[in-house]
Amino acid sequence: MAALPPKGDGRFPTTEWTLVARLHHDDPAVSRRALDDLCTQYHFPLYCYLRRRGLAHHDAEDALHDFMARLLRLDSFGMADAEKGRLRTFLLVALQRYLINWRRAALRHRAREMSADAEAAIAAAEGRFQREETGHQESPDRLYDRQWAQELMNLVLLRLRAKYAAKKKERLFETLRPVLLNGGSLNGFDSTRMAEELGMRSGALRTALMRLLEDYREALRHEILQTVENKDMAREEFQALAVLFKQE
Amino acid sequence: MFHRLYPTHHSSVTNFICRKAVESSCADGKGAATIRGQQRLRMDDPDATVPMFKSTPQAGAGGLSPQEVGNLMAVGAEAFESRRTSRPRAWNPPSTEELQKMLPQYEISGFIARGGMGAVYKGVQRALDRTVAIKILPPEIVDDGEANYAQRFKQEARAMAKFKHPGIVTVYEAGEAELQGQDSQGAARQESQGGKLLYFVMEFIEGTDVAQLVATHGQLPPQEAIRITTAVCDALAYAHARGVVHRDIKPSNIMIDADGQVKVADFGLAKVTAHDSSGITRSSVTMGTPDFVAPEAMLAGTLVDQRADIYAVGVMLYQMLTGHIPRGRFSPISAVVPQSDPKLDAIVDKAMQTDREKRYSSAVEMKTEVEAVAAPAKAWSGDASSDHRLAPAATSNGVSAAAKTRRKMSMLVGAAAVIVLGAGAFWMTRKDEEGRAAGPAAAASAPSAALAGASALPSATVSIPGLPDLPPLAIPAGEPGLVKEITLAPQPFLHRIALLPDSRRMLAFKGSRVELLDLQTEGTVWSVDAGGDAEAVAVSRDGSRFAHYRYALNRNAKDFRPEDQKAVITLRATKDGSVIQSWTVPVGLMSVPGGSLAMAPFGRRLVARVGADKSGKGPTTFVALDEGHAEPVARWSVAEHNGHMIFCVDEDHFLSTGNGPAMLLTVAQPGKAEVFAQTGAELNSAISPDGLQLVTCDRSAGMAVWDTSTRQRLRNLEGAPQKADLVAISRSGAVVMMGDAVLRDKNKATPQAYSAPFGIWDSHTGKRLATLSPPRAGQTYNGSSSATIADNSTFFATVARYDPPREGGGANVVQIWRLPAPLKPDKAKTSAATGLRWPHMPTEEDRKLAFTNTLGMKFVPVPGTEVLFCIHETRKQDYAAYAAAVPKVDALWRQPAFYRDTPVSPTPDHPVAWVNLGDCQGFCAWLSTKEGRKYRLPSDYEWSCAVGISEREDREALPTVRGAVFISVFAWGTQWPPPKGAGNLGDETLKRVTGQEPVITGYDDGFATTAPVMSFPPNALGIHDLAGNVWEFCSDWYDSLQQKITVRGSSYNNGNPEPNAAFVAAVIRNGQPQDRGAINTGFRIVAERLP
Repeated sequence: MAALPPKGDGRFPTTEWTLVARLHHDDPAVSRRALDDLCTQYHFPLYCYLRRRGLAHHDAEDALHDFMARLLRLDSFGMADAEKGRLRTFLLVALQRYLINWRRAALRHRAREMSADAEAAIAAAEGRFQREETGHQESPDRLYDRQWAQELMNLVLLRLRAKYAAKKKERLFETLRPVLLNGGSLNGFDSTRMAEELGMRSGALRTALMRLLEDYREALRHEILQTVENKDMAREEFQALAVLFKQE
Repeated sequence: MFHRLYPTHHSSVTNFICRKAVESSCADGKGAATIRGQQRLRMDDPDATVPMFKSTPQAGAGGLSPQEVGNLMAVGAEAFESRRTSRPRAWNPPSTEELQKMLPQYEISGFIARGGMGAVYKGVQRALDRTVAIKILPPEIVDDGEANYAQRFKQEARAMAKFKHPGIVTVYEAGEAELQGQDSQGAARQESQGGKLLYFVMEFIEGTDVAQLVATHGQLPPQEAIRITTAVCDALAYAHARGVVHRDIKPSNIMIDADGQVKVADFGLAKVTAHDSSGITRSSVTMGTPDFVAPEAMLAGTLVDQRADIYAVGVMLYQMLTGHIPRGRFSPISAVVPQSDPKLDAIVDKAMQTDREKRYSSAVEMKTEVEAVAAPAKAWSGDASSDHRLAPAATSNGVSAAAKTRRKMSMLVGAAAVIVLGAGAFWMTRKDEEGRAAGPAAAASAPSAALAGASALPSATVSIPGLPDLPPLAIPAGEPGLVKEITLAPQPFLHRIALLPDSRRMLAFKGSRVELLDLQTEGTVWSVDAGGDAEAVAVSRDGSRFAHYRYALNRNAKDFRPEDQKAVITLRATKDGSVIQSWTVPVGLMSVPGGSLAMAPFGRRLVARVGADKSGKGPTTFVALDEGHAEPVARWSVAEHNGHMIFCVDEDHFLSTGNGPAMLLTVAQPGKAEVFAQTGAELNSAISPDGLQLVTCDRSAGMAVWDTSTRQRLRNLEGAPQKADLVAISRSGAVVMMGDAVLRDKNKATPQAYSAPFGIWDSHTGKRLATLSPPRAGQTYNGSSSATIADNSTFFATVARYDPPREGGGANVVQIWRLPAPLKPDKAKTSAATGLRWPHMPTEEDRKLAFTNTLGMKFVPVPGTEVLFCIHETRKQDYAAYAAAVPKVDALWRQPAFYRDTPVSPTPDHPVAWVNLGDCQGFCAWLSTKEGRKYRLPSDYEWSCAVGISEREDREALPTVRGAVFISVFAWGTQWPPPKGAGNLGDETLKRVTGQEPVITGYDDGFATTAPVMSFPPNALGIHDLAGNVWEFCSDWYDSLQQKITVRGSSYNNGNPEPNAAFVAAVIRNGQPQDRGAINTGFRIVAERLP
């Protein structure tokens, strides 16, 4: 995603958010696409939040639809107080405020402002929510953050794979992916065999792994930077999310 | 094969195991050495437990487990130049091939499991051709410079090998095996203890373990738990006597083989791994399952003795019995499992003493006490998902009313289930032998006061079985509005509430817990883990039980399929929140918005809406559950209905409303549902407690009140906002609504709109009574998610969330709102007061058909039928003629009969009673032969024609269905209370003479029991006693099961101040077992027209 000049309209925070900048780009095709991206990428944490807040799933679905649509139209959420700088928190606060005014709508025919993919994603959210959701004691906010982090990582991996596919290195990626998910060490893996399978020498494999880790880190930086203003905030954002997954 | 060991996702152990390795390996980032031949854990091993790092199977996007995300975070930490967080690596056990190389004397047949203390493989000892289990200990366990680790290990193994006890897994061999390691290319040193793995070989147990049992069954039968505990104590006693302490007693170490023999495994291991040579706990050790570890064993520097094992046994015993691990201040077993022996509580308590001096000092001691626990008195009634079936609960008010004369039927309804099934003003009539209606006494009198225009609702105490009697919440008089707020802790958040019928205590669902709160004292009566967020709640009529509904998904399934997913409906006792029963029902995923529940008014029946087609377009499925049944007893699918609300109409009927038409579901005929009314397209509806009115939100026409009998729209609620959410209708007829309100706060530039209890309308008149203003200015009031109305109609409760939370952390707030004083219905406009109707009055032609037969019984035509009705109930003298003429007629009818010591039908001109269906038919047959024309019993429909309500009834429906909808029309018209001469009903004389209560207050017909027929004026057709005197047999079956015959017309002992509880409406049917008579049941005959 190339960075586009941000469009501030006075109400919306002016930041370098690539995604959000695209969201209210003048060209409706661009903004619609951006909304789709947003929906498909980050709808799930928002959905989890809604569900944990007590909305039944049809209601959560409706509310999320509507919320997304308003986002596109940049309806005011009372943004004067919005936390600037982080898409994650901005969306959450916006959703919270949106909920204040939200009404359960029995309309069966909503104006569809999203692509079928985005809709399908939201429709699938409930299943995923029920499968994944754990920890009944978690507050909606915390659940949201945790899911956000997972979505973030999903995205990072997807981008990473895409990048490797573009370099015609899918097999390498697939072979080394478990290593990455395991923490990045070849310990416990049969690297000799892995190298053999890939037609590389062991040393080359090790090098490739290092490269992959660096690529991963870069993808991670990039992905987080989509949602925050600058590198300092990126570090804070990362740490804020990492702390949710700290192991003992 | 071993069943899977209880999956240890506790990272603490394995992380500990590897922590040393990580710290010593110095993250030089140059990759890691490999051990030649050592592969990572084979993922395709069918017997493999889910390894810690395997992705959770996903159907959608994503697919990362929290573990993996954590790993990625760790890797990514460098990206932001922060210090690398050291993440311990897990140990990967050798592959079977690798192990095979290490242990050539065994034939390794497969990897079995990976537990907290290593990995287990199955093999065959070649020399003896004996099947064994081989356990490998990770070499990194001990790496603190302690010498002779391997030596100690061998010592322990030798000691254990000497054990010979049926309850202890036998150890055959132990030793060290060389890892076939080889560094390559200058990589970092492999973390290992000189390349050796420690192993020991033990008896192979084919079976399961206690951890698996508990995971599968939840609670084990007490006898089984006792048996297991006894066996473990026995094994421990043996070991302790030989100086060996287990130190790691936990459910996954207690095996049960195929014969049910209990075997304790892994003796002594913990001593090797976690303690130094003197048995003192190391400071750096993390034990496997802290829940089972005795307090003193947690402290570094403690010498652990056999009492630590006893502690663990106590924990395990509790877990086996209750399904839960005792933590903190845990509930006694007897609270969780009501039938359990209280001695078990004492045993667990003693075993789990923090101070080990206070524990049992020996396993023998504990075993003795455990063995002494008697078998529980009743059969185990555990989770319905097990094979155990409950005996059907004895129902004091169930359908099997063998000796009962008839069944009471009342309009009992539940409020919106999407919100909460609160306690509206419900009529509960407990049936008793004499068919007396006995409900909450005070409650009974109130609405009649309301309807009759009296001034105040009494707030008498309502008893809830199992709970102490408490007066209702005191609400000072005043205008409708907020009375008080009860602040609850912000976490877990409160999402559902339900008032008990005592208008005093309230269920609160917070996170996955449910609590009972006293609204007056604001204290918590009890709090239990409900196992998950409650999607819907229902409270029983008498308040003794409540049910909730949640999803229970199999998240571990490799292939997640929505069709496999289940919902769990749990029935609990309100007295302490304990589980009475639970049902697991399949649920189509993503198709039940919040589900809905209703509890039947009588007996123990629950109806739940559990699912619909996945596409959301197909039929909606409802199930009815009876206490005592593990499976639903009725299931039906309703097409084209997205109903959210289920209201109890009566035990056999439920009304479901929602998007689209309101559907009446008949439990007696699962699968059948009829359109009750074309209600609006909104989601919120409620039925008034007197059953006369249904209120719906209709997008097109606003909020409307419907007549439940004529199914017509009566009136709109004036000025009701289109977007309001209906809450409930009180007994007095006040309709509460949540709606939009706008708060203008001068501190904020724009007005804040929010959802709040908005207004109260009078359902009788449609007028708005009050607009409720928001409670606090200056705060963002974030709406209410749940509401419930008090039985006594003085208040309703809602949940509010303050955002941001108020000082003191009050995010969850229960608000109590005062309702208006009882409302007076505008009688001119109330409901189905359209009176009796006949298609036409008898014509001249018809009247010519009237005749009197040889017994002196007079018959008149009834328009709408082809028969002539006897104008009176069959008298004793009529029946006597039959009995005299026909031999062997049962003489029961003839004997002196008494109702509450008062004579019934003492003289021949009284209606005959104590006849059954066969007697009636016999009489008719005899009379038909005698007179040469056909006499018979009337059909239910014909009877309706006689009384004048046939035109509003569905001819095709069963009598039980037709009688379900209350219409305040009586044989004498619509007047209530009955005018003088209305008929022989349950009146003041009955009360005075027999003491029966309740009766129709203020009505006196002069007869306690039966009256001579025709004592009261006839109806427009000339027919007497269609109301009261005795019930009259009809020819139709009452129900679809065809066990009862329809009886009509009520009798001398039916009465209540409330019309719909008096059981005397013209529409009322009852079912009489066809082979029995009753003291208040007789019959009336009809004559078919001559050809």
